[in-house]
Amino acid sequence: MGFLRCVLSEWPFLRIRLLRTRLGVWLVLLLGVVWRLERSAVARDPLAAVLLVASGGATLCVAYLAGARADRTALGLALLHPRFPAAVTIGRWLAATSGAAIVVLVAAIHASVGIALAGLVTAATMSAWTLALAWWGGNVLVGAWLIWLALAGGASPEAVLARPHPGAGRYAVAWALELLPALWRYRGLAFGEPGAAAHAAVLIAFGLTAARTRAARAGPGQP
Amino acid sequence: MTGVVQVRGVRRVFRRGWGRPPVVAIAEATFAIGAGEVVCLVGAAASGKTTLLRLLAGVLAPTAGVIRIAGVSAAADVRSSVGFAPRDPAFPPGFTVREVLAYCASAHARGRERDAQVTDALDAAGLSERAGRRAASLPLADGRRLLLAQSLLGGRRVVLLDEPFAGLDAVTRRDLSDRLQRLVVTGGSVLLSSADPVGLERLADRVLVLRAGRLVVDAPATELLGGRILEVVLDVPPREAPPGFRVTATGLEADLGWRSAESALAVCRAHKLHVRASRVRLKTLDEATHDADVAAR
Repeated sequence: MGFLRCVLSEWPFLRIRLLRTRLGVWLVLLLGVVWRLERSAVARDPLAAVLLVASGGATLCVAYLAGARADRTALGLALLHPRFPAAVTIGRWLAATSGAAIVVLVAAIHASVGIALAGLVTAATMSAWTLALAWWGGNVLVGAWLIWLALAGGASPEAVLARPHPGAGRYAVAWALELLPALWRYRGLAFGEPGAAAHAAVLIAFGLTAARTRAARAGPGQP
Repeated sequence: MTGVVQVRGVRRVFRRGWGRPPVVAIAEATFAIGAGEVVCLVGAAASGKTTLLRLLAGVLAPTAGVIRIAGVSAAADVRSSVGFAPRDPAFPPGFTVREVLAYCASAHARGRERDAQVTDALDAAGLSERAGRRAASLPLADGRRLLLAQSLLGGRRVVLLDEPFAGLDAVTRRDLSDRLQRLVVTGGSVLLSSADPVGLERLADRVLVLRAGRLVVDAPATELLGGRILEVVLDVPPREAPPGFRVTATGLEADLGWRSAESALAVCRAHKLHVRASRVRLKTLDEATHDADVAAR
């Protein structure tokens, strides 16, 4: 079977989950909340809104497309047929990214092309990272990541360390914000910063490699 | 050694960390399966049946030995020629039966050919009327049918079924047996595992008995099932069984071997046992595998 055909065969996951689960409702709710927040903000920041939609949307899509225990168990069934684990991984990542891309494009409808692109790249990065979390730890890890995004996702390391005498906890959070996918860094994507693009590329490669490694280990009947 | 499936000197050891000793799941297995043959792999729980099936399906690699499927080493990708149905049904949530099969079939074909494969698999497994139902919420019997259907996709001629009848009612067991027999009539080969061989007599061409990871019996079913047993119902249970007899709940029973039933009943009379009724029956596969297992100890 061709690698590309194997990638494309993962597409039904997005269609079916959008139409038959609450994923579609959650994505619309996410859009509504971010739109409301952006409207009520004193200084409007369309870039922050788009990045928030991208990261939240990507995480939700991965949770619904790959994170459930049944989905991880069924991965073993899929690999009983002549499929490449890498193609399954890329296909599921593209499907999740596409789901997030829909809401990103809706959120960025009045924004510049740069902001829309930043949103799309952020969605791709978050999808790859979250896919690795989902296949290694299920929706428990994905949920933890969503909470992390809600609590610290919008902060920058400088802001975390800005207070005098920061403790070990603050340093740990700052390091996490430095290393993991974070919205402060991907703001630079809208302005063509190479550092942000390089970070996104490395995180996508890392996430896909980690997810592929887990997929290759999936045996039938084993989540 | 000839056959569609050839297994020679296969051994599989699972290494465990933290200084714990390795687990020998398959100590030694050598056998072959021919075209159009149904082979039942029988053994107690944790005897290595699932591991052996996973080795044949290419999901696991053997620690030692050679597995060849249709002349191709299982170390290469044999998923185009070997279908494997795991024991526990697990399907992607939200997918219908047809969508699960279409998803699996997309690895083998595309377009109309894929749709034709899906339709054939639905027919072969008896799922045509339930094609629109959600796969994740199917009852166990239909889940097993769907597992069988996906293992047939792509025109695969070797089918491995892990405990396909476990937990199923007699009607479904019979129906699935008939469908498997139809498959082997067209030249397919089936290897199915079962911890409970009851009812497999009408299906099995050959029986493999696995005991603690070692293949202790590889015999045609006719050879194992050829034995006759005399069942004797007594008015009063005996204190001890006469030579060659075993005490049962209703009386006695004995392997007849080459003896006649009359000569065995004469032994009962000689021991002054009041025989109320008697009958001669064939050994069940359950008894035959148990005897073989005991003999191998």
